[in-house]
Amino acid sequence: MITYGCLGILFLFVIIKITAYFKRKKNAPTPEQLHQTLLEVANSKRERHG
Amino acid sequence: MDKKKPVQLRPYIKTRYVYQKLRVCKHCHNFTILWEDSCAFCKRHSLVHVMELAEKKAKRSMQSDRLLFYIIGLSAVLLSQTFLQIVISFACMVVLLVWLWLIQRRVLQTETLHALDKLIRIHQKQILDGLDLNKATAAAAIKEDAQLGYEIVREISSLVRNDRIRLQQIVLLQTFSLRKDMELELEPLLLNEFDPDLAAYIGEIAKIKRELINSKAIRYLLDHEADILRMEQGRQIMIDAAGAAVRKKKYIDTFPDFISRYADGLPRYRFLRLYQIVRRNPGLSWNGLRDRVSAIYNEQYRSDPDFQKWD
Repeated sequence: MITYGCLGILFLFVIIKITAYFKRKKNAPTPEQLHQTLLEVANSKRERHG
Repeated sequence: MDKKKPVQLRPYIKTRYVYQKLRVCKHCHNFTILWEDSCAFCKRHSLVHVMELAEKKAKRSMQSDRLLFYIIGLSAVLLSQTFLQIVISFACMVVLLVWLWLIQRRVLQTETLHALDKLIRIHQKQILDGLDLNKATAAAAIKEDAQLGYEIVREISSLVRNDRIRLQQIVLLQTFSLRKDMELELEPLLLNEFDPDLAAYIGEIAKIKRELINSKAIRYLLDHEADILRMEQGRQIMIDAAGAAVRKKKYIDTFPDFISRYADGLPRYRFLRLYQIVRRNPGLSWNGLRDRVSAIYNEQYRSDPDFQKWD
């Protein structure tokens, strides 16, 4: 019985992980957003005054 | 003016996104935008592109997920009481592992983007420190070798976008003898304020790389026209820019007054180009530019055969 319990947990783990992956895929930043983020970091206040 | 140095600039590699240029030291997490082989901070040969590091981090996170998967799966196997349970546990593990692995392979790209986003946000201070180090390298290089200094500043300017960096580039460019085959740029160097070096640079670009003279460059000249005309070569700069602008009808449509003001100074072949455009558009007066062109034509080029065969 414990084996089946472990297999159930394993199945749930895979389902949760895959759901999480697809959710993250949907919300992934685009290369354009990352480009912009990096520009904002590099040209932040400290950079402008520094 | 005559002290300009002939230089052979190293090719500039343009990337679609700035992060494709940024590298990070795997050892000390020092960031750099330059092309050096070893880290300027810890001197180790461990610089990698940030995308490479992000992919490695994404893969490591997926490996951790798989490790947890193995722990749960093997627990099921070890806790099996019959051979059938062992077989079922192994079979389930294989099927689920293949499924998980296939999905992980499919989402690796987006997971890498997430990892890169996290990397940039977490290491903001290190990125700025790395750029400071790059700027110190540039300052030291400028003192010894203006060409190398310019190349370094050009790399930094792909990420740091402010007037100080632009001005540094313009001043360095003005010490070089510019040629048509050089990889030059104009729009990214345009400043908000008037600068005589920039005006002189635009004048040179108008002569050697006309295609770089666009609406933004013309607007800059018009915004600071009075200051430019006070310069020794000011009027010539405006004439050269007008000569470059007549290559496209859209600039004549947008800036007819500007072209009209400097049309009389245009060299013959540039005026011929303007004349051809004016003749091909009989319905347009361009706020008096047509009359101005006709007057100059009657005055200087009436007997020129090239002006008769414009069709």
